[in-house]
Amino acid sequence: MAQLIITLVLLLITFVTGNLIERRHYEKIKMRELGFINMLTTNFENIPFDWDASEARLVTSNIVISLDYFKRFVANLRKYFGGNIVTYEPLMDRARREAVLRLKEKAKARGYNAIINLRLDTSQIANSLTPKQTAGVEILAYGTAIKINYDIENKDSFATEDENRDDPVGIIG
Amino acid sequence: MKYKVKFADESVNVSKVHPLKEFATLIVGFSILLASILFIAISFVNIVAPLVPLKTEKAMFAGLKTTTVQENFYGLGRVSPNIKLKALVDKLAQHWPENPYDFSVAVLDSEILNAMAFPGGNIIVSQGLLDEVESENELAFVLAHEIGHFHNRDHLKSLGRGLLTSIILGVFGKSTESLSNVVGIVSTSSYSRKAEASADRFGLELVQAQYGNVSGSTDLFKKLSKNEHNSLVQRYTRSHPISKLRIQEMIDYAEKRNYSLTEKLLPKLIIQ
Amino acid sequence: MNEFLVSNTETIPGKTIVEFYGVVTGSTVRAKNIGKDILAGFKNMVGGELKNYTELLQEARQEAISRMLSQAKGMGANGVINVRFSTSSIAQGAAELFAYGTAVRVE
Repeated sequence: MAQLIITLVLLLITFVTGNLIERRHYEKIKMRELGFINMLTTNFENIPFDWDASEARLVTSNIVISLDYFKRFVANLRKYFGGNIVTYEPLMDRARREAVLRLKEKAKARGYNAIINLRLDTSQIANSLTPKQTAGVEILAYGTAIKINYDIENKDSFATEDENRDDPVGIIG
Repeated sequence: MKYKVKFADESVNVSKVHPLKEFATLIVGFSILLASILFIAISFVNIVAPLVPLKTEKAMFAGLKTTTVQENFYGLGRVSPNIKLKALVDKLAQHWPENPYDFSVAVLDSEILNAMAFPGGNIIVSQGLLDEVESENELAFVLAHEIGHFHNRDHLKSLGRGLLTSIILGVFGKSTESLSNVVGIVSTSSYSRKAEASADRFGLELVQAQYGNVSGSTDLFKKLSKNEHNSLVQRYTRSHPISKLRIQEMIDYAEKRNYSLTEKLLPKLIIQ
Repeated sequence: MNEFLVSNTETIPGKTIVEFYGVVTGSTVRAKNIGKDILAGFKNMVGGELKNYTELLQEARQEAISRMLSQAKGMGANGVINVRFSTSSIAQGAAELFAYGTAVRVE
C-alpha cells in the first residue's frame, strides 16, 4: 500500500514538472525558429549549380533529453496494447527541433548562412544504475554549412544571374 | 531553384491526445486486462482443484503430519497433537457423511488467535485461540469452519491460486509493479473472502447438526471486531471478510434457516 | 498533375525543381505489443520472417511518411525529395520511426 502511494505521488510530481518544462521548452523553440526562418536548410547532397555558394564546413550539434518517470510509466503500460506512445512523441519532436536549432546557431556563429545535407541520428542513452530502463535519448544533427550570396532585401528568393557558372560539386570541407 | 521561406507545421509529429487522458485509459485498460486473465486462471483452479482425488492429496502432503509433536511446523512453531480436540472434530465431522478425511488436530504454541486447515486433513489451532474461547460452542464453530474449508477443498484452491497468480504477476508486473500488485491483491482476496464466507456457512450447518442450535458461533468474531479498523481499503484487500460483515452474514443465514442463536451455551471444554 | 511526388533522389527525371521550402520531418513512436511479442518469441526459435513485426513497422513507417507529407502539403509543396529513413530504439520496447526530406515544388 505504501509503495502504491509513493508511486502515485512520484507520478503526479513528475507529470506536473515534466509538463511545465515541456511547455517552456516549446515556447523557446518557437521563438528561436522564427529567428532562423530565413536560414536555408535542406538535405540535398549536392549544391545546385545555380547557387552562388562558397566555403563549406561540417557542423554538428546534439542534445540528450531525458524521459521522465511519468512518461516512462505510461509507455510501459502502452506496451501491453501496442500503438503510438503519445507521451514520447513531443519529447522526440522537441529534441529534434532543438538539435537543428543548435546546428543553425553554430553555423550562424561561424558566419555561414545555409545548411545542406542535413542528417539526423537518434540513439538511446541508458542510465548505468538501472540498466533495464532508458534514461534518455540523444539526437545528433549534422550537415554542411555553406556561405551563399543572395539578395538580402528580397528574402524570398535568391539565385545568381550568371547561368554559365561552373557546377561546384558538393564539397564537404 | 529558388528558396522560399515557408512556415512548417511542426505539430504533425505530436498526437493530439492529452497525456492524462492516455494515462487514465491505460490504467483502466491494463487493470481490466490483468483482472480478466486472473479471473480465467482462478476459475480454472476452482474447477480443477475439487477434481484432485483424495489419495493423491494425501500422497502429495504426506510430510504434513501433525500426528506427532513437531518442533517447527512450517516455520510457525511447535505443534502438538491433541486427542480431545480431535474427538470434538470427529463428532462434528460425523454430520458430513461424505467426509473422506481422517482429521488430525494439533495445538500451535502461539499467543496469536489463529486456526488453520492444512492439506491432508490437518487442523491447527493456536493456544491463544484456545485461551480466548469461553464456551464449547464457540470452539466448535471454529473447528467446524475449518472442516468447511476441507469440504470446499479451499486449501488446494488457494495453493493453485497462489501459484498461478505469482506466475501471471511475474509476467505482467515487470515494469508495472505497484499497479499489478494492487490488481492482484484485490482479485485474489475477493476469492479468499468468498471462501471464508462459504466455510462460515458450512460451519453453522455442522454446529446446528451437533448441538441443535448455533449459539456462540459469532462470539469469537465479536471479540475480534473490537480491535478491527474498518477502512474501505481493508474491506477489499483482506483475505478474510471484516468481522462486522461476517457476523451479519452469519446472523442472516441463521435467521433464514431458523437456527437459534440464543440458546444456553455449554461450558468451556477442558482440553489439556 | 495533382500527384504528390515523393522520391529519395535529388532530381526527378523529366521534371524541374522550381522552388524548395526546407526540411520536413515525420515521426512516430510505436510500442511493441506484448501479446504479439510472445508469439514472435516462439517464431524466433524456429527462424524465418516475423510477419507481425514486419507489418507493425511497415504501418508505423507509413504513418511517419504521411505525417511528413502533410507537413509538406501545409507548406504548399507538391513533392518531397531526398527522403531518408531512420529507425531507432528509444526505450525498451519502443521504437521511433523517422522520415525526413526536402519539400519542393516541381513542374
